[in-house]
Amino acid sequence: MTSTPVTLVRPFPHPVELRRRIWYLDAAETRVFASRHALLVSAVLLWLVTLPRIDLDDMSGLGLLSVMPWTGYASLIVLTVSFFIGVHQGRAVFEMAVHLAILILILHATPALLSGTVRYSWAWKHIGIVDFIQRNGIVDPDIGVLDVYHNWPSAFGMAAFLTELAGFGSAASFAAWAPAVFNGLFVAALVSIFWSLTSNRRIVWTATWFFLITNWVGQDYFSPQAFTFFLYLVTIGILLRWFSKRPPVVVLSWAERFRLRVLRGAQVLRLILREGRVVGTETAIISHSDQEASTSLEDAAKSDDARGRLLATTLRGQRQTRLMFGIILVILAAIITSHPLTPMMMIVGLSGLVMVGVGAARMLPIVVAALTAVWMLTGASSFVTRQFEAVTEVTGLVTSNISATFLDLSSAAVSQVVIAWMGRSLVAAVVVLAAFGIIRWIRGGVFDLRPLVLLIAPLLMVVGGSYDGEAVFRVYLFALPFATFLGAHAFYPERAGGSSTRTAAAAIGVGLVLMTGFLFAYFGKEDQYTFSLDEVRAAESIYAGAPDGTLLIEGSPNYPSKFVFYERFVYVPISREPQTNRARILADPVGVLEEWMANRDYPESYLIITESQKAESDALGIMPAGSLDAIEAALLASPRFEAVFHTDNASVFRLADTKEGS
Amino acid sequence: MNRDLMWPGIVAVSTAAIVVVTVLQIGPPLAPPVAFWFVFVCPGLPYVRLLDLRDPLNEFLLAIALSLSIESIVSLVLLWRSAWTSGRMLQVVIAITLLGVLLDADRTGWRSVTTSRVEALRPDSIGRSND
Repeated sequence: MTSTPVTLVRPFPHPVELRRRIWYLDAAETRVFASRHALLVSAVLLWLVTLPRIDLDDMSGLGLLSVMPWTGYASLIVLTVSFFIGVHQGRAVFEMAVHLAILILILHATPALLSGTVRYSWAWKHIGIVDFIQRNGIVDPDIGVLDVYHNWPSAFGMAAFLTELAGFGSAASFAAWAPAVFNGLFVAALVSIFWSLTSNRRIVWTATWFFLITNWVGQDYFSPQAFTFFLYLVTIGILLRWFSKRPPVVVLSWAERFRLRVLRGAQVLRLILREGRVVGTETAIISHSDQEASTSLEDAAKSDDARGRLLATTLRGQRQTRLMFGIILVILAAIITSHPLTPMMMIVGLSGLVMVGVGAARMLPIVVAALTAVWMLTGASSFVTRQFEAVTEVTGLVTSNISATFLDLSSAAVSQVVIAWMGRSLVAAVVVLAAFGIIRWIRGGVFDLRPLVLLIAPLLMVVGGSYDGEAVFRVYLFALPFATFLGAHAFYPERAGGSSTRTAAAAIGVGLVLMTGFLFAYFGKEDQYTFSLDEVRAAESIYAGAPDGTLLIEGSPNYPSKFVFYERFVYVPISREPQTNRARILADPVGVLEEWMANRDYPESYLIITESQKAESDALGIMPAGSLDAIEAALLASPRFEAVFHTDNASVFRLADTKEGS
Repeated sequence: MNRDLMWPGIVAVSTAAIVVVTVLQIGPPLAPPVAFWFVFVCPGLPYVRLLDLRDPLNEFLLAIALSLSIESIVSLVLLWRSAWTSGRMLQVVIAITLLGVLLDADRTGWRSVTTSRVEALRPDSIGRSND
């Protein structure tokens, strides 16, 4: 046998020439580069122009939207157009990854860059747990305040370790960047998951983009749930990529497709499910192409090609498989001891995968359930014992668990009603998009149960409880990756193929509509979620030297609170007081609050009122609009109170008599 | 340098760097990048490399997930024993990291170095190299 001589068509350039080509572009190359990246560069420039023009102090009821100049919206529109043109043209992975990275920066780094403080009051509480561990080197499962975190402390211990190693005094130094980091990690995990579900890169990129612009529920901040959600995605990714054999490909003739659609729907479905079990996987049916040979369903499912695809995704040898299982167990242990809800999501998700034949995961739901039970009976036993009755009371009450998530809009400001409905509309849009995608997916002849079960499984969690009114948010978050994956099929077929300009235009249109909903739902409450440095300093002025058992009266809990020495205080938020007490305070702020703060059960007493508290109280209608302003003004005018800290954004009071006495 | 030993080397150097940063109590701005790199990647990467995935995205993704998980579990054990300090935790994490580095180096580096030396001494390989 003679070998064919190889002709070197493109000789490798001389190193000097190569270096020149790397660093310098000629005119033609520059034009190509500029035309390819003009939109992307424009989007970045528009964003950079936008940042200094935003003044957070001017925010009104629509949050960041009320102060965003037109360049900010233009930046997102141009970036969206650039991204979907890239999807349409099938551009390189690196280019698409850059688009995603810039979107993450625009959406999730902007608040940190503008305010310089940590977003969300509850993120500050998590910083407080890290501070507790740094100071004490222990957790206290029976502690009276924020006890749930002491019962699931792993992630906080890790965060405390990171804080100390980095040389920071507090996790507040870096926690503002957590949303950007977590979204980056989510995207990497999602791309991995989507690549194992499809080989069509258009679907991968579109689904990932849709995830970023529909994940409005705010579970990406400095928190154990964001950490464990990332670990959940990684675990599901491992199972789909290395333990779930790829669907065998079945190529159908036009006659078979006709029978599939019209005559043999139920029969074929049964065959798919049976074949799925027989080969230990799900069966995908990819529609007929003239260039491909057609075979019968049964033969194709057992063909060498199908088996080759199955083997291609397995690990090399028993040693690697055992090691991968070991890694999964370590990740699961971290999830189980970091967050109470994610293991439940993991159990239902893994059970769903087992049901559709991901054979390697068969034991994992049982393992996770057993480990979770062990942790709840040991490390978290004190919390579980205290909460057992409350949990069993709401178990099965699906309607009330769902309704607990929704805000009571009857007394909310108009802007809040708009924002709430934008969020709900965005959820509805995702559901419609996913449904449309599923229909197109199945009509295209594809049937893969894995994303479907991972979409549906989290819904079971609303049976378990309301999770402090967050049940629907959590279900949405865990179902969202697979909803967007299926939603992307509304635009692109499973099998990689061409993309028409009309499809690209439709994707841009839908992307912009979803982005609009996201901006309202995610940034609409920014005046409540973003805190000024004044507010942080006001809280620090209290925490610095207060003794154990100090009474801290708060306008509402919505401010940077509990982030240092949190266990030393008894917290009394006015907004959470019974209606009669709130009415008494509003009628006579000085008299009632003086009476409360003079209580000799507490060594010291403080009262804090901030802009964010006022924004939340007024927007949600917790108290009549302007109530906290009125209380603050009354205390400032009273000689019986001393303002130990006062700026336009925050005030801290204590009794003037107390100071004199001490 | 043998390419197979590059990552074990990087992890070992990173471990040394975090020790220096901690012992000398170097704070920001130098400490955070060293600490974040170490905490996010180093303890898990050597074990993930044992899988020989040949897939950089998934290797780093798994390395981050495993690193943070290892540190979470170590912190949990120390918290449970009322013995949590960052110094003690660093000692345990470094031990886990270096064990992984040794296993990784043993799997890839030493074996490939030995193999390449044996290959180089074989007469037929000498002949091939002259072709």
